[in-house]
Amino acid sequence: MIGKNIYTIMLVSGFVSIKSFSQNMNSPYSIYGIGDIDNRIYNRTSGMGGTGLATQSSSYFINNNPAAISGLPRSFYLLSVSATGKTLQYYGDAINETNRKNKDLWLKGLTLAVKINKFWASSIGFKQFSNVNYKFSGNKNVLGSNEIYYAIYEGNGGLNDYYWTNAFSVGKHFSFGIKSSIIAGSINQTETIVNDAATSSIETKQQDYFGSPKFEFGAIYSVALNKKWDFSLGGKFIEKTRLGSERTLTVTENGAAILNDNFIKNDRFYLPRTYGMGITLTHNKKTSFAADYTYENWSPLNIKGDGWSLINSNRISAGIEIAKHIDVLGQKVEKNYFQFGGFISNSYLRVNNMPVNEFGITAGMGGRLNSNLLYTLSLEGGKRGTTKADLIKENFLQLTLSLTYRDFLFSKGRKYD
Amino acid sequence: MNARNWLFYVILFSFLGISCSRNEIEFGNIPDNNYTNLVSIDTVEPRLSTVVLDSFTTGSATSFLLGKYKDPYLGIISARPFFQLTIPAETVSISTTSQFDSACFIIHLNKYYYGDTTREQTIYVNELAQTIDYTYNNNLYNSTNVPAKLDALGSKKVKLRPSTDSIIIRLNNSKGAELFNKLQQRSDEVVSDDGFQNYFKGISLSVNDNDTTAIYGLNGASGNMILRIYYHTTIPYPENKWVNFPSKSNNYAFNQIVTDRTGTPLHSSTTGTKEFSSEQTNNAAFTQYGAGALLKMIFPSLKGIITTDKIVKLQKAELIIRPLGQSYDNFKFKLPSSFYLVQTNGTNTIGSFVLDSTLSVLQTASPVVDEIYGLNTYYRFNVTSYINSLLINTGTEDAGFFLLENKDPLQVNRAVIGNSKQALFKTQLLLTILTINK
Repeated sequence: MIGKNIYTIMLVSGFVSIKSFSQNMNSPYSIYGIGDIDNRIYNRTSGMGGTGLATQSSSYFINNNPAAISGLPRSFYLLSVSATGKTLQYYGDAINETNRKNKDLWLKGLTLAVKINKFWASSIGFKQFSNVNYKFSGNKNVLGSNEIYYAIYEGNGGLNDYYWTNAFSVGKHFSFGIKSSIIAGSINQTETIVNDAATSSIETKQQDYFGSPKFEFGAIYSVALNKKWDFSLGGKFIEKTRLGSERTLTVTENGAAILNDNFIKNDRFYLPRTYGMGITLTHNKKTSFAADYTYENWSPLNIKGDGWSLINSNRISAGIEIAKHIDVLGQKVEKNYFQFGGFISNSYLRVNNMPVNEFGITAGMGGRLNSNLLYTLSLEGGKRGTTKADLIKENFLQLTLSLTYRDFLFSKGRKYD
Repeated sequence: MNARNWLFYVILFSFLGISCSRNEIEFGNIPDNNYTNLVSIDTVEPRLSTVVLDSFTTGSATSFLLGKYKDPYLGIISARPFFQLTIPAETVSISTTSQFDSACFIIHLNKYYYGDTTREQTIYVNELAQTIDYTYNNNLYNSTNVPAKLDALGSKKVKLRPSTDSIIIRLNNSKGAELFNKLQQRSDEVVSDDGFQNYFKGISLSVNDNDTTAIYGLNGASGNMILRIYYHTTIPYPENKWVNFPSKSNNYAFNQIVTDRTGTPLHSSTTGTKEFSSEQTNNAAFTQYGAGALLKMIFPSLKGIITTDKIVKLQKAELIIRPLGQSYDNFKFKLPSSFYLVQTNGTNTIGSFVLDSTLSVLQTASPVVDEIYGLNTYYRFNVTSYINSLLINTGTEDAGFFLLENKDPLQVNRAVIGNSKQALFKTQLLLTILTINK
């Protein structure tokens, strides 16, 4: 059974990884900054609009708050993988029937989490941090003439968050955690110009390689209000983070390298100081109500370009979860759950003086496939952007699948308390 | 596996089955890029020269030129066709009672002309005194001459219009009667082609020495020049008849095209192929391919656009060829209706054609004429691939192009092209390059 479950997780991870390498979803707004920064949550809380800053789980890997993994049972390990498929329809002046629809699939994260002892839980893994994927053609002016040239611009790549999270319990009600990350990856922008005789295609690829540490702090306070109601309060904080980068240039002509990874300069990008707070109320251990608020302080970073800037962002989300339990050997064990939620966000991006806002509603379900393998399915529908000010509106539908394999950390035959 | 699990796996694999697609979306400004620039430059000066051929082949002609014109830039150009006639196509049987009437020579024109067509010219039909034979390397050349009999068979003073279709020149009766008698007697000299060639060596056409007005194009296809014998029968009733001796279109049909460049910048007192730089010839170069003057362009300063701190890639190369403003008109000295380019180098050999951007079709350029001011008349060629080849290969400093005009049908149009030192009528190589900062 163990082998079969691991095989399922490996199969999903491998297949999605292969497909992810050929990411093709055009994301027009990813041209700005370090791409589309993915603030979504891909775990059990996905069906609640990603609400879970104050949520812990004993069975599932929840990482909304670095302190959350302290809720895992001792001497268990969790292997969790998440993937998302998304279909999208664009609207705006630049959109016609040939480019209206897009769809793609991503591997969003892979995690191994362990409750090492009564006080200390730890996890390692990675998640997608930002994604760059755009393609458009433009006219490039010829200096010294009125001519313009047709050029194709493509962006791809993105950053991943490779993290090690440690959470500690202090007493029965309080826990805190720190997520230590390396934000690494490359953002690639390629300009392709074909000469007049169509005999030479010159690709100039600008690559920004990132690799910088980032730290996220979190804490959760949980208390039983009475016999029926439990209450949790969670918060997180991320200090302003400098992402150093190294820029190289690669030039190819008809596929043959003229200039290969030539160092150009060192550069940097800043991630903002971030605050988040959330509450969870649980009734009879079955029904949970949760709400989160997150604030990102982008404006002081003064990151902007031609027609765009990064501005302070706010995200509010809320959700409800209804769980069903069964008795197993006299213990209540969660059988499955159903979730509903939503979020609204005025994003960090402003283009043509218009903020690129986003909202979505979510639904989710999850449960056990067998005694070790848990699944989470969530569906999210929403909208981002606007058709005003020559912008593009995205209507999307997103299906997220998370698989969690849970087992004892040590060999059989030993007893654990 | 229970139903729930089956449902899960169906959802799982449906999910994994999502295929990816990406479409172009025109959104946002062109990304900031300080590394690539497209730049237009016109500082690479084409070096122009005129290559005057010592001689060139004109045998196996399918069209002829006849006449003479005086060019203010290129001197006097004279053209004479030489060709053979053959026996009548069908067996001729002329009764002994038939009477010779007259003989004439019929010339069909192909509507081409160059020069002043408002003046008269005298056209002579000459019988050759010697058989036409190759002069060198099994070929006949523009300079080849075959002597003609002293007295012309016939002549006619005529003012040819561009629309003129044909000319009929009356021949002297003695030659006509001679031919008639041989036909009537079924002499071997008019029954077999071999016999006829031994008897009648061929025809050359010429104009009066003083007729330097225009050159006309003649149709050189077989049978388009005709020596016709008119006669009549009396029995059983009077009837006018004729017999044709048509022209042959064979290897021995050729044009003699000679030039007298005395007093022009292209004059040379010595023989052999000569190259005149445009600086020697008043900052102009000349093209008259039909008369052996070839305009050559090379680009010795081309590699100067390459710098060490940038990658330079050629995107487009256009050759703008400008005729001197007063050197042409719409009637007498028309610009060639079309030019093409061939590759050449320091040896002045005529190389491969310059093809169009598809690299599969010969590239030609017609003049864009500034009818109002005459300042911006030009021919334009896209030579991107070829200039790129010159740019990236070594030893190409003396490589370039010849500017040529189609020779089929044969023509002697000419153009006077300004070099880069001309203020208004300069030939330019316009380059668009992509520079990439390293």
